[in-house]
Amino acid sequence: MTALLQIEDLTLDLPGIGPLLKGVSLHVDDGEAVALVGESGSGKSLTTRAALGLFPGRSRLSGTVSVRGLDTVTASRQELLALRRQRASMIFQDPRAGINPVRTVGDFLTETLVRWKGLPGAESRERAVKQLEQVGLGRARELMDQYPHQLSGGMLQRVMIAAALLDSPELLLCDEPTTALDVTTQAGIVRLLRDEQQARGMGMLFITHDLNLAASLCDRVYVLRHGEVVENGATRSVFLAPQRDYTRELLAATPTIETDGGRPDGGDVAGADGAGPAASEVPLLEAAGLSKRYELRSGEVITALDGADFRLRAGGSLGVVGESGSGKSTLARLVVALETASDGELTLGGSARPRRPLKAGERKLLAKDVQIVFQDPYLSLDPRIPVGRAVADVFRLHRKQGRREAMQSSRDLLERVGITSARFEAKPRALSGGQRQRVALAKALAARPRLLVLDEATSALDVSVQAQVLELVEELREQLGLTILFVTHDLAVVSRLCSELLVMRQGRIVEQGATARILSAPEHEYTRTLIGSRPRALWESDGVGDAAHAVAV
Amino acid sequence: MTLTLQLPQTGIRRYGSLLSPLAWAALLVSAAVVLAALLAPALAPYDPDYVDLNNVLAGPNAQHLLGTDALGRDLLSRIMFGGRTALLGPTIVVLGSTAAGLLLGLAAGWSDGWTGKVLGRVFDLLFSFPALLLAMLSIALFGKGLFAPILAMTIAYVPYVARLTQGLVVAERTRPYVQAYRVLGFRTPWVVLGRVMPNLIPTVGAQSALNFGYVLADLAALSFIGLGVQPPTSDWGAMIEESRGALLGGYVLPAFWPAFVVVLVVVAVNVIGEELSDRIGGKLS
Repeated sequence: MTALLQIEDLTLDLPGIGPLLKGVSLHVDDGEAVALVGESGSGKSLTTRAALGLFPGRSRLSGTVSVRGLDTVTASRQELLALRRQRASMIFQDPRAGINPVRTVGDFLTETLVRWKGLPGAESRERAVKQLEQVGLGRARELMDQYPHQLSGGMLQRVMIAAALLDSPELLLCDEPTTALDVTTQAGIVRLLRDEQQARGMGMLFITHDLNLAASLCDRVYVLRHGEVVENGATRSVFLAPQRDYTRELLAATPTIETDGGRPDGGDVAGADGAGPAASEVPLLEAAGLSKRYELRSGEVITALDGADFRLRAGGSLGVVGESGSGKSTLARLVVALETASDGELTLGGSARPRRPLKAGERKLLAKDVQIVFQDPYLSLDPRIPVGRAVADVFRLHRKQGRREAMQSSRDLLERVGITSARFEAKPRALSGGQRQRVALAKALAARPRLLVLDEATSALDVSVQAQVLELVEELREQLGLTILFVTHDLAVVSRLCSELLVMRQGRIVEQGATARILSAPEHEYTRTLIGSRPRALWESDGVGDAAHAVAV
Repeated sequence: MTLTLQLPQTGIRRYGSLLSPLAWAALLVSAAVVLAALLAPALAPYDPDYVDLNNVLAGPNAQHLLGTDALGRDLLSRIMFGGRTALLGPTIVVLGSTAAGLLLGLAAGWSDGWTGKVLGRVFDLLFSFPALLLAMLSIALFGKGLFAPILAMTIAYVPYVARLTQGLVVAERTRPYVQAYRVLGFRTPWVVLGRVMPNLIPTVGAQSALNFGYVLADLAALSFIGLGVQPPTSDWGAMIEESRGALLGGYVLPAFWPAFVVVLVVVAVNVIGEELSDRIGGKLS
């Protein structure tokens, strides 16, 4: 029998852009789960798409991509269609982008069966229902008549997996299928993929930027960088004994939960609940019964944040962890006054925040107390303004500096966050994600805030870049005596940066205290689930993963 | 060792690489027409109003490249001079409606409260009046000529720009970069006029380019029915109207040339406008 997927020396050159793949070779055998790991721009998606004969237009190709002996580089349209219908299926990152929002789940699932396999409608429905049950969705019959918007992201990704499995593919291609999902949801999906892959003896190629995820799912791994395979081999040996520097860097940059309290900042570990030596100090930020409700047009009231109580002392670092809908972003937006509280008190630097939108003068004063860095570095900078001027504008506003003086201050600050003066005149689009986030940081710091809110500020970055930006934040925090409020879904990032921690769920704080204590001995059930859901390598004990599996879905 | 530098292309070269051949052709046509109109006094072979009764309704020949009309006036010269009034009107209308529409749209989009809602309804109200009807009302008030229709058209085209701007602003104000400006303490007028507005101008400009074509056709129609530019001033719409008699007598060219130029310019401007909005749309997505 010919190999399931065999890519040999695949080179892809896009005129005007340059070579994107430089001689990639890899193979996937029947019944094998293989990970393709790399950072953005490494060519991992291109490689995977090549298996389906999906190449960007005008690209120059060489090498072979053979799926059961069919070379997709030279195959005809008909052959490729047959391949996509019968042999290979693909699952994408964003399940919502891949499904027609005005058609029901049932329509979506049965379409291929009716049109291509020629099955009668009733039988198609039966098979679709069975498949939905098999991927762990309850009430499958009701689900068939529901629309995509009625389903959560995790449920929808299960529907997509069901659709992919309905064709009984021999090869399953997964392009970051869990990246858009919460960590507890991810754990369930990963388990499902692993079970299905083994039960059906499918070959699976799993693309991810997350090394831990690859280790929790795949037997072999290819590490891709700049369109080249840097290293490959059994996942375990690549992880435990990496041969190449790049793999080592990647592994080192991948955040892991540190239960020793993150940075050794000693007295910092003052309980957020008021215990510890720092309790007597006046907190910089204090919330008492802080709530935010939104009223929908239907009259329904959504409680985004429900009675939050916490204190953050000056110079401290507080992590706020939760999944989507936990209210963590609402909390961040309340602190920087982008939202107004419905109830409760918010005190910053001893002065209580009025429960109404701020006036222009008040906002300007507040800007010197608190600043924020947002998640998406591609949206949080003004696309038209050169970065040097963007930072200089803040100096002119807050320090009353003249044009020339402000430009000099801007240059100094940008250099301090690692943006060389050669990039001073560059517009944001000419910068990488990491560089943009450094600029965003500089802009926020130019106002000289005492409190810096980071709202998922490193989530959109590659791991190696994330590690650098986190390092920068730590460094600046020490030098400037900043107080940090770090909002994130990633426990590992928090464990590294923050000495205190809030765990949030559905608008409520479920647990708070010293990070080290919470991570090593979580008290709340949900905190335990959150910690247990983190991907665990296949060769580590599987017991904790089972706990995560039980609560997912 | 070779060092390859990938520098972002700047200025016109960047646009040039993105414009389709069709858009380039449209750009050339528009430029040629505008230049011909601007330089008419120097380039036109004859006085556009010079009547030569010995040479009426002549076909294209060496003396008169496009022929002459029923009064023996040179058609090429009249089209070149006619372009001055025909293009001036839409230019004023587009500039005026863009400026007013931008400001009103920004105001409507930025305020959550009553201002936005009321302005939105006012735009809807204006939308419900056809531009030509407004123009005729205005002519009834202010008399025939160029002023009345230009005023009316400007008002009629404000909602096209304002509605678009309002929608863009509503989307823009929730963007992180705008929120960052708020958190940094910049005042709203500075953010709106100094930072948000310039980011909208390419998109609004594309809409205005399309509007130019519509206004040109509308104003030509007004001149054609005798409410716009008055004889003897040469104007494309008026030229078509003046050639009605000749047309009935079987002489097509005196009406054809001005009509052809109107169509040419409207199509060219539309192509450019479409290209601009496609390019912007592509960049945003």
